Amino acid sequence: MSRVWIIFAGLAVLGLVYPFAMPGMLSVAVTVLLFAGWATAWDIAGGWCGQVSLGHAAFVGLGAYVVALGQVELGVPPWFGLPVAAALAAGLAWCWGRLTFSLAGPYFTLSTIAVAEILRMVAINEDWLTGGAIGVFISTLPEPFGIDLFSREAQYWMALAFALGTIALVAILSERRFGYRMRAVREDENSAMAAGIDPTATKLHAFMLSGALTAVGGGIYGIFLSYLEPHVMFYLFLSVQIALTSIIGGRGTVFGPAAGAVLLVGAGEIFRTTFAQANLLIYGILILIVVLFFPRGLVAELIRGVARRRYAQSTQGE
Amino acid sequence: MDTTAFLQNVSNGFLIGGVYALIGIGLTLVFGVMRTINFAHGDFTVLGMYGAVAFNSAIGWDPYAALIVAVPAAFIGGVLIERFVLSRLVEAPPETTLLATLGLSLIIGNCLLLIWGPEPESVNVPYAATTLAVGSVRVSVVLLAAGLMTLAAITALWLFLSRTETGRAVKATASNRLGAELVGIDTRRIHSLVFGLGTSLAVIAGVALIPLLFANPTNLGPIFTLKAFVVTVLGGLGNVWAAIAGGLILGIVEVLGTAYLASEYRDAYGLIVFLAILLLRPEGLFGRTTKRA
Amino acid sequence: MRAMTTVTSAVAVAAGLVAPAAHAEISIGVVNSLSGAFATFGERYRDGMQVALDEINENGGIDGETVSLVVRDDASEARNAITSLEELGGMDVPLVLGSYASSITGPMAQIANRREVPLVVLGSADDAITKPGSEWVFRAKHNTTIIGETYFDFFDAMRTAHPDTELQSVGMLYGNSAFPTALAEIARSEAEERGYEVVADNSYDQGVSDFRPILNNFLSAEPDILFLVNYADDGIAIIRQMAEVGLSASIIAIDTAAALPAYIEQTGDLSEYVVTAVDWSKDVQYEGTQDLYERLKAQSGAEPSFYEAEGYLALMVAAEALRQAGSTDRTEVREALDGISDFQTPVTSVTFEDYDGFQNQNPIQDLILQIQDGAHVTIYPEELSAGDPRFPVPAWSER
Repeated sequence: MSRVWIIFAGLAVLGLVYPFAMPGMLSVAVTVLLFAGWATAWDIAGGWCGQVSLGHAAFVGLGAYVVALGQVELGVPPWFGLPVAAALAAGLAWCWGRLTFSLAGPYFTLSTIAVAEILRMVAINEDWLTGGAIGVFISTLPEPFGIDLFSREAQYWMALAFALGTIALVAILSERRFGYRMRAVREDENSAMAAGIDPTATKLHAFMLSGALTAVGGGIYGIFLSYLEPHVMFYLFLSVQIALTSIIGGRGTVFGPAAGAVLLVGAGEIFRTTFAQANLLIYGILILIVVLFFPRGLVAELIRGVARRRYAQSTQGE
Repeated sequence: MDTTAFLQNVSNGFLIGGVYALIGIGLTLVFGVMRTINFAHGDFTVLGMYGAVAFNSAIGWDPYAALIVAVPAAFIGGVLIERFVLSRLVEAPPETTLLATLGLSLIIGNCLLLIWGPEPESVNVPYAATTLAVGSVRVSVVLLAAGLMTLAAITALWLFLSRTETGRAVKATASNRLGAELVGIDTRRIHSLVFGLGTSLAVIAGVALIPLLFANPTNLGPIFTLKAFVVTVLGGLGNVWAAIAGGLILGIVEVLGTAYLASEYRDAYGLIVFLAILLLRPEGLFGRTTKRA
Repeated sequence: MRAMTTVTSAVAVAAGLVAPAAHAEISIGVVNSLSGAFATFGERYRDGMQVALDEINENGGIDGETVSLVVRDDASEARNAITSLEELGGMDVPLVLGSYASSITGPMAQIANRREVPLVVLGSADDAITKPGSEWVFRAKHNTTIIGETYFDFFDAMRTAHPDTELQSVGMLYGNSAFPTALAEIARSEAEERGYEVVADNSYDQGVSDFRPILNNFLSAEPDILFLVNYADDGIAIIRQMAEVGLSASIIAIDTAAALPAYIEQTGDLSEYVVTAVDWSKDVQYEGTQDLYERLKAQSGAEPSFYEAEGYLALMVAAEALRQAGSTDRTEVREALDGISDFQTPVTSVTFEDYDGFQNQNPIQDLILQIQDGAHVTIYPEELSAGDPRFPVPAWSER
């Protein structure tokens, strides 16, 4: 078993034990897990494949709305709603990618903002489809095997499954051919093409996977809040937060985005109570620090530092 | 269609477009020379607004007079940011500078929030709602002043770029950085200068806008930044005159869309045109045909 | 040995001073938006609650027990509010107050019901929050329906009082977030019910700052009544641009934005004649209003608005329920809240009723204020008013 899977198993055990150790702090944990999953999913396109998106809130919103409207309007339970949301998100990502992947680097990033903002306005104004600005309440949910999906415990397990599933998928992909293809496209599209890789297809697949997973998290987020409003679900800063969580943690690493989520949500909790006003200031400061001093990401760089020192010690001992 | 109303809308579109051009011009310059996407551009505009508010409440002068202090301060601030942050990222992948300026944007906005609080601030000037009548069309004095400032700023910038030695060095750096260095131009200095100019122009836009609008610490910056991007992409890379055209097109599209299509999609009209231009004519409507990569 | 005893007792005394165990404390939970987009309002609620807290404790607390607040900032985001409410739910607090925005208070209300924590609404006016099925949620302040009806009651009153001036057509312009949209919906149905005609109906994205094309369309629609729902930022820009394009009407109603004292400061003469609905004002003819006004002003250090009063009201109601329950058991506190009837405060009298499709809602009397000579003056209803309505609004050129 490789090192990655040992860490993964450790995380899984931690996740399984947590609700018994800290039963009063489940909501924070759900937020951490959702951001961990989102940031990891974002990283598939943004980190591994180099397509920095600042529009991922659109996928969160899509997932949340599909699950909520499916339940409220059509009586479709969430376990059908979530896969449908993922499929629709993959479809959206396909159209979106087809449209914008001809743009390179920063231009692609700009176009993601534009697309997400247009989708936000659609969600607000087309009330026949989304319930409009007034929002949608999820007031009843089915109870599979007597499990109350409104309970924090149930939501915690859903969020945990989402986060661990996403991380596991990335861990697997990173060792597969698709992972190498993505990295090749990120480093240099022309050389990738010369090596027989189709960059557009690779980017499309990465973006579709990223969007679909983000939408699954969005669906869980919708159940967690049980009230959906376009201004909240399609919020530009939510896109920014997802991207920055991943980048601060460490782009293109298996665990960096998840670690970024623990760090930023945790810091946000502390800031929220002690430093009332400017809760996004920490994101600003951290991103500058990361960009200037830890270009690989805070957590990834720290791990590297520890690993180096260990290596140095072990060689000294010999 | 009511002709008077239509003419009124077109003239408003032009004037609003002039304001957009003023916001966009600084970004166009920075973009053209440094290939940097400055996410904090709109936040500098908001800084300019707060500067004018502070100036007005402290000394009681007309908010436009704040330009005397705000423009040099913005220039120095821009140069410092370029020196200590952006210049260290020249060799990094392009999205790195984008992230750095995104960080700056969050820092500026939230610091303003800490200092001023969340309530919108504005300056109440007696001429805020004054209009001039041109035939049957009313022209807002404040918008007209903003339009004149745009013209003045762009003319000054053009004179600087085409008539001075430093200006020509800026243009050389924009077209080929390596080449410029080979002929002895200190491109690091040029970058600092350009970023300082860019922030100054953003701040001028803020001061020009405050009698018309309101300053708000965190929400307004990204909106301005997005408008500036649209203007830049519409006009084309690094072409200062095209920024005027970009601004005017955006203004007209928004105003006519709002008046005759659906008002609630106002910001979408600009973004749709933005996407269309980006995809169909990536060099901008008036740019030279160069591949963007 | 003796020295030893002295030391021990001294320590005991010292310990007693540090932790006054003899005086039990009651902690009330608060979830408020102290940062983020709604902090403007959150700070006002905070000041209002502080005034109420001082009043309660100066008068001996609740049955001799001091009251304290356990405050959590939701940073204007629903997920933080939920987290905070659950944290408070796990603590020893008999009830919780919160929060401002509908998008935040809505999810809180759901959790309060599910977890059986009594919730007194601090600021949200969303109708859905006090619909049947929410037996643990109580609202002493107004809801969207009450606000909308009050505006049209006022329009009706002006119609009756001034039969020669035509008051028939309504032009509506509102931001596209939850509350303005909901209020516009109420206004649309009230207009139809009472025989007004909506001749212009536009919404705009929050953050837009150029309203000229919409206002120009209004100019040709010529509405008798302008009904606008704007937040502070857009409200400033809209009134300036109305003056610029020359758009006026017999009545100009601006909800939310025009109720803030800063609005008058920042728009100057332009805001004259504007009317706005609130559930409290400093000159309303209730007992104790003047005194409350002074205290709110001293606390906030600025001109208070009805938001401070709503914060004050929420905490006073909570304290009254605790007093009547005589216990901090949540079920008993909920029953006490349910039983509150005709409780008098300087803000309003409170009775939690189930009526007209609402549950646990106080049918509060809303007021219409008009900005007259640079100040808010209560002009409707007549029996509570401090001044006469200035009607109709003169054209911009004749001001």
